[in-house]
Amino acid sequence: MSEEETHHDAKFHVTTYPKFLKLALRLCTQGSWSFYAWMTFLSCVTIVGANAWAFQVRDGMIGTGMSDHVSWGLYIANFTFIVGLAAGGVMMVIPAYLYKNKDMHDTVIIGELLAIASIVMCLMFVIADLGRPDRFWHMLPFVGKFNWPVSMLTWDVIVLNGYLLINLHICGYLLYKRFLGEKPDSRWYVPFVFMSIAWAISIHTVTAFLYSGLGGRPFWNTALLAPRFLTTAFCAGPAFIILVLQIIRRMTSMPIGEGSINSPPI
Amino acid sequence: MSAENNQSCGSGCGCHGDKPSEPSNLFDRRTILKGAGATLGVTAFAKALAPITEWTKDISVDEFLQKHYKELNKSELAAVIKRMEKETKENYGREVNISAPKPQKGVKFGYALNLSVCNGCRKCAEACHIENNHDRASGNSYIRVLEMSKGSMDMEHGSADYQHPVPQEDKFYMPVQCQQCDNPPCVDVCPVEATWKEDDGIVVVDYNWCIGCRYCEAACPYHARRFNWEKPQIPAEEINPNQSYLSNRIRPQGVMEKCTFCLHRTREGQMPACLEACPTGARVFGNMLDPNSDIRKVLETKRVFVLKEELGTKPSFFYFFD
Repeated sequence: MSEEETHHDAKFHVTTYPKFLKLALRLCTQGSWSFYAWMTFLSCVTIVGANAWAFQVRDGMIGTGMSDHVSWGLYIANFTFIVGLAAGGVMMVIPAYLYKNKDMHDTVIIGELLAIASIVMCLMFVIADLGRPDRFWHMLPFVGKFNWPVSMLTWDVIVLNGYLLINLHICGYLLYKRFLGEKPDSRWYVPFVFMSIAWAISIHTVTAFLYSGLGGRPFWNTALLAPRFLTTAFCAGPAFIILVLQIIRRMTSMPIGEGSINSPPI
Repeated sequence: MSAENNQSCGSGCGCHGDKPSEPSNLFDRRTILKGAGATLGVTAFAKALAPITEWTKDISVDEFLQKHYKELNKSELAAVIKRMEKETKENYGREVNISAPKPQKGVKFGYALNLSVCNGCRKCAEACHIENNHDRASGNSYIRVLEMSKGSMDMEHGSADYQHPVPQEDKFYMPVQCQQCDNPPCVDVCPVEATWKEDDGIVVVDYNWCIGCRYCEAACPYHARRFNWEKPQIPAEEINPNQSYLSNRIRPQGVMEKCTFCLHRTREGQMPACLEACPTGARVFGNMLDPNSDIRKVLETKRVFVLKEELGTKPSFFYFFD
C-alpha cells in the first residue's frame, strides 16, 4: 500500500459514484455534429427495430418468415456470431497481461467494452427470439423453473450473464478509478481479467454445446463444434477490434500504438 | 500518477478544463438541444412499442402469474380450467369442456404401424387436424406421411407433400408423429421444464408455461413438434369441444405443441383419432404393460423397428412390415 492511496469509506462512494455516472452520461452524449448525426441515425434504426419487435410480439412470429422446418433463423444465428465476437474480443486482453505488451493496455478497455456491448446484444437477440417474452420470468431460478443442469440453455444463461457482470465490473472499476484520479488497485481487476479470459472460452463453448448435443442434427452433432466455434470467434473478435481501432485512430484523438494492431494476440 | 489528477479523464475524451465534474450552465444551447432530443427519443420509443400494449390487453393477470401445471393443486387447476373455458368462449365463440385426466396406473402406451397396409391416404393426418383443434390457416397436423421408395429407408428422400393418387406402385407410406420417446431429447433441452414425460409414457407440454424458445423443436429428431407462429384461427363450428389441458385445448400464440396420443381420449379408454380414421387398419395402439393387448401381440410376434435407433431416444412408436 503506497502512501498516495486514499482510503474511502462507503459514504464517499455513495456521493461520488453518482457524480461519476453523471459525468459519464454527459461525456458519452457529447461530440461533434457528425457524432450527433450518427447517434440520431442509430437511434432511428433502434426505434424502427423496437417497433418491428412490438409487432412481432402482438401478431406472432409468423412475421419473421420462420417455419417449423427451420425453427431458428437470423436471431439465433446472429446471437451465436455475436457471442463469438464477445469471446474473441477479450482475447486482445491476453497480450497486455501475459506478454506485458505496453501498447496493448489502452486497447484492453476497447476489448472489454466490445464484450459488454456484444453480450447485451446477445441477451436482446435471445429475448427477441422468444415466442412468449411475457413468460420470461419462467426462466428465473426459484421464482420459475430453471432446468439446470440438464438443459444447455440454462448453462448459457448463467455463463452469459456471468460474463457480462465480470466485464461490467472490470470496466466500471477502471473507469471509476480514472474518474477519481487514482491508480487502480490491481487486486480488484487483474484476477477478474484472468477470470474473464477463461470465462470467454466458456461462453462460446457452452453456446456450441447448445448445438452439438442435438442428436437429431447430424451437421452439428460432433465434438468438433466447440473448438470450431472458438477458432472462428478468435478470428472474428480481434478482427472487429482491429477495425474499431482503425476507426478510432482516424476519427478521434485517442492514440493507438502500432503494437496494438500489429501484434496479433495468438 | 499525481499528474493525472489534473486531467482525471485521461487524454482525448473531449472534456474541457481541469474541473470536468462541474456541471456546465444548465441552459446552454447544447444541453437544451440534448434534452429536447432525449425527450423526442423517449416519446418515439414509447410510441414504437405501442403494439405490445394492445397484446397485453389479451393476457389476464391470472394467466401471467399462473404456476406450472405440476404445481397446481386441485382447486387452482379447476380455477385455471374455468378461466380457459371462459376465454375460449370469448375468443372463439364456442362452449368447450376442458378436462385434466391423470395417467392411469399400470399403463404405458405404445403405438405400432403396419407399413405393408398403409396406403398414404393421410386420413390420420386429417383426423388429427380436426381432433386437436389445429390452426386452419396453416393446415397443421402432428402427423406427416412420408412417401418412400420401396427398398430404401432413406427418409431424406421421402416426400411429405405429395399430391397425387395413392398408393403409388413403387412407393410405401410411413406416417411419422411424436414417438413419445423414453429418452426424449426435447424434455432434456427445455430451459423451463415446460415439457415432460408422464407416467403413462406420453410426453406433454404445458402450453401456459412454454416460453416459445423452440429449442425442443431443434432437438427433436423426428420433426414431431409444431410451433404456434400466430394465434390459431378456427371457426366456432369446427372446434372439437372435448378438450383437455395437456392435449387439444386451443393453444395460445407463441407456444409449442405436439402429438399427445390423444390423451383426452386414450386416458378415458378410447383410441386416438388417427387410429379410428385409418381405413386400412394399419395402426395398432394400446397399453404395452397389458399382456393381452393388441400392441403387445404386435411387439411379440412381428419384426418391429424404430426410427433413428442409433440416437438412443427409445421411441414408443414401432413400425413393421407384415
